[in-house]
Amino acid sequence: MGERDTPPRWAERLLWLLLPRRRRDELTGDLREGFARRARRDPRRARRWYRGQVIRSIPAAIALRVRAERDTRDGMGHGMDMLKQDLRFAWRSLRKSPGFAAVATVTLALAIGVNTSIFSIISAIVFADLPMQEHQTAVMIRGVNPELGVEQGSVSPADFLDLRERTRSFSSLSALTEGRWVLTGQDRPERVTGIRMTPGTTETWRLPPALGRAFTSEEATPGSGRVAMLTHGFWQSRFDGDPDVLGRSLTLDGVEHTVVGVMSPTFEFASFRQAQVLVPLSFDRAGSSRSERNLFVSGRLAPGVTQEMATEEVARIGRNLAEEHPETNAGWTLRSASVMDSLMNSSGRRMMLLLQLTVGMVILIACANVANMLLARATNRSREMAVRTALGAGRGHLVRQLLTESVLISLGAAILGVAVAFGLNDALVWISAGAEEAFRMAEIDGKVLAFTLLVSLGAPLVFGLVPALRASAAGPAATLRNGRTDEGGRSGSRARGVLVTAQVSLALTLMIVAGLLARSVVKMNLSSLGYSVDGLLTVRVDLPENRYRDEGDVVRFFEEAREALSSLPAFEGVTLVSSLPGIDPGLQRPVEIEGIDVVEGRSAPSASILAVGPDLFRTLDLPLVGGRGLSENDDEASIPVAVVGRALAERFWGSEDAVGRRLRTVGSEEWIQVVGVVADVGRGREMDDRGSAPNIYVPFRQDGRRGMYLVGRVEGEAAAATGPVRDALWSVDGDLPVGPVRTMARAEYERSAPNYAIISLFGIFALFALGMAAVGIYGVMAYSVSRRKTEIGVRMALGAETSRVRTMILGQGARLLAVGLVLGLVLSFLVSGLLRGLVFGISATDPMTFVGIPVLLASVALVANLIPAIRATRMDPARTLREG
Amino acid sequence: MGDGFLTLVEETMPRGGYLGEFEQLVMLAVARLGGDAYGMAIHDEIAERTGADVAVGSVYSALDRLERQDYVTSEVGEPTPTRGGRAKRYFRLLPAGALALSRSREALEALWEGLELDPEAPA
Repeated sequence: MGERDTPPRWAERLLWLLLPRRRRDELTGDLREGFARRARRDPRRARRWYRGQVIRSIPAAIALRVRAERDTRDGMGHGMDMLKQDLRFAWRSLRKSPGFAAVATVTLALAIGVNTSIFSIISAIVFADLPMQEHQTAVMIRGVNPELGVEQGSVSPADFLDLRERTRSFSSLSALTEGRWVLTGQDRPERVTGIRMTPGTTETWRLPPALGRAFTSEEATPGSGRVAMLTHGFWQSRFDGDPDVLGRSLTLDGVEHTVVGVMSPTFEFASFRQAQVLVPLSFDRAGSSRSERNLFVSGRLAPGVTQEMATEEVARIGRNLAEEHPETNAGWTLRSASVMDSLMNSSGRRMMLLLQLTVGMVILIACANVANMLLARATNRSREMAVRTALGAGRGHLVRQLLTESVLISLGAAILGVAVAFGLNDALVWISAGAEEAFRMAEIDGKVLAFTLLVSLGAPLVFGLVPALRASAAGPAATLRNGRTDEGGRSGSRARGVLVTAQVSLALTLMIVAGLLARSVVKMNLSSLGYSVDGLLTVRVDLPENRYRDEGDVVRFFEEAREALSSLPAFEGVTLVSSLPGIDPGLQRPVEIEGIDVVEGRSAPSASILAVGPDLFRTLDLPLVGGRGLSENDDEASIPVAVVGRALAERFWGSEDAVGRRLRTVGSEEWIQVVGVVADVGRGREMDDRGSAPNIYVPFRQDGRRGMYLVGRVEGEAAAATGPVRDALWSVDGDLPVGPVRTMARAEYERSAPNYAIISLFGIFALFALGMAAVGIYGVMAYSVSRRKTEIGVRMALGAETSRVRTMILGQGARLLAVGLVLGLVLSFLVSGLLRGLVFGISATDPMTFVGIPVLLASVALVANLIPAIRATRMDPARTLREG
Repeated sequence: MGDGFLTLVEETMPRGGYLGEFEQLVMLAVARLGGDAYGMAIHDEIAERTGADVAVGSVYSALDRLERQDYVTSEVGEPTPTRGGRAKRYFRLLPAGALALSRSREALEALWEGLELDPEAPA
């Protein structure tokens, strides 16, 4: 029945496809109607008739289609012609005013450049090729301790094992940690870095190996044959991508490992990119620590489990662990989050948001400036527009042509802007000494270029539309009669006033943000480190486990190395330290003070424990404030001793003498006796104590570490000492990998380099904004003065005093400025919320900055305002009146 | 270039020349139907009077050409259920079309005058 009622589907569809769009309905509708009429009598004949109609209509349908296509093509051809004409016209009109074109293009290019650069950084993070495949169901689990300000901490092995036992949310849970080895058996001994990971990691991440296989769970049990995987990058660079690498043997710290596979190249993400070798990670329950948080834990959600469910369960397990093990876990909890959420901590995210916001402001300021120039130009061109309107150009046509000019400027700016972005990205990596991963990941790729194109096509609508509408609005009759448009001019200057006010307020906000960040860094850098880094040279040495098995070997090596360096001319006071005091936080451990109970529910205070050589305080020129320093006699045979920083001494023993008191690291049996108190180190240590743990110095003979810095004062050029330092170390152990030889100043710079890069960025933004605001005010006032020439001339001729005329003009500019400043202050207060936690040593609403910056901006703007005011009173009234 | 030239010829020639036979059939049907000339009605009118089941597509193709020459004009009508909910397009003869039809008819009549042809007779 249904089939009889309808014409053959294929025939109708065929016709439908062939016909041009506007004929489809009517033609197939007609055939339907004819079919329906026939079908009532004889459905089979009706269907035959229908088929015949369609087949015979095919040539006609094609003819209709061809004609319709030709119509649209002609229409487009016309459009192309118009575009070509508009472009030619715009090009000619810009060539006639090269100054305007150049200034507008450069202004926008700078703004588009910084936007492109910041977008490339953000896009690198947001669209990062994550190493976890199907990352929607992958999670990262971090240790969190709000009290210590730890948001993205690691997890201890014991906590990991408990979590893995108790959780129901994950189909697999993996852990990995960093590893360092000395690779021998190749041409030279070398230090390799890599990762120890639980065998399931590749499955959790859904990362099939590029070659060979991943680890099996048996391979993580102690005693089984040692195996290793290579990262894709290391395989390519060291083994030339040779597939025969499987089965080869690598000697890591003297132990043979068989290469079983090559990791997927996708693994090489962010800091994993430095990895070269991977080995299985194993723990045995009994020996695993709960206080050493060193595992990076990731998981794969079990089917049907959502991120939220997992987060809740993991948090609950974290809380339970804290209750069960208060001595190590009080204050700590576990947090499961999606991979994207885990990539950045909240201050990183806030910084990104802040950057995005500020570059948005930069481009708005630039747009306001160009719009201002266009408005001024519009007034100057009112006669041209009037003539063209009188000759019959439609308003739409004029607007289109003016917008084409704007687009042309903007596209030119986009090309320059991409160059600016390339330069800026390189500069950021350079300033940050390569220490900020986000800057290194930034790449100007297709996505970023598409963004730039979008911005440069959108910007003309922001800065060009209103000026274009205004320019084309003038009534030709009045304009041609008067030679100027009084009407359009007045509302034009109001529009320009609004633009300048907006510019001032945005500029003020940018400058305050930059000011707050810069002030906190300056404050940090002006505060002393506690010792002088001048002339200090450092070199890091990490001893391989296989050849330096026990503490005796380690201590012996460093003694000899110290002597070897001391024998170098121009190198004195050579000493040892496990981490650079006040620069690199080093190993932090919770400590227990004799006689002071750990407060219930609070974690033990943590301190940096530095293993040091006897001369450290002398070499650093760090004054002792009580007791004695560490000496040659404090060795493995004598009782354990320590020198503590003053802050720690005051915190636990107040005004009482710290010397003679005892402390120990949580979990160890032996008490350490305090024998001296030394001045504190670390910049900004007086400002707040967040995150900066107090220092405890112990003799390295009593706490041997494989990784130590040798530090000494060098006379003359530090760079010249590099060669001799290495040679001296190699004279002790020829197979030793030696780290970079750096000055202490460089080491300190590298630590805060990413901050410097960000401050430089905001500094650039602020300067740009200040310049734009000054130029904006100057432009508006100069224009206003030129329009009021006659009025000023009359006033001067009638005997008005010069100073009064100047005050009048200054007052006009000052009003715009004042409104802009007030709006800017309000905006700054709103934005300052984002800065909390990003500034140190000052509050996010630091009064100095909130008063000083507006004063600075106001002074610059008033100077810009003064020039037209002075010029106004220098005019010869007689001449202006004659001309006006 | 060639495209433009051909377009020129196609669009200007009929004004000076005469209508094709099929075009005449379609235009006459439009004229006879008055205000009710849409595709299927035109088809039926031709079928009823001449017995020819012309292809509806060809009717549209002819009307499309004629519309470009301003001989006919059209507007969209209402959709109906028998048409599967699709709208009709109504065509109307314009004065230029009527003139062209009359010219063609005059030319034909002038040529037929005094001529008797018997299709059945051998040549």
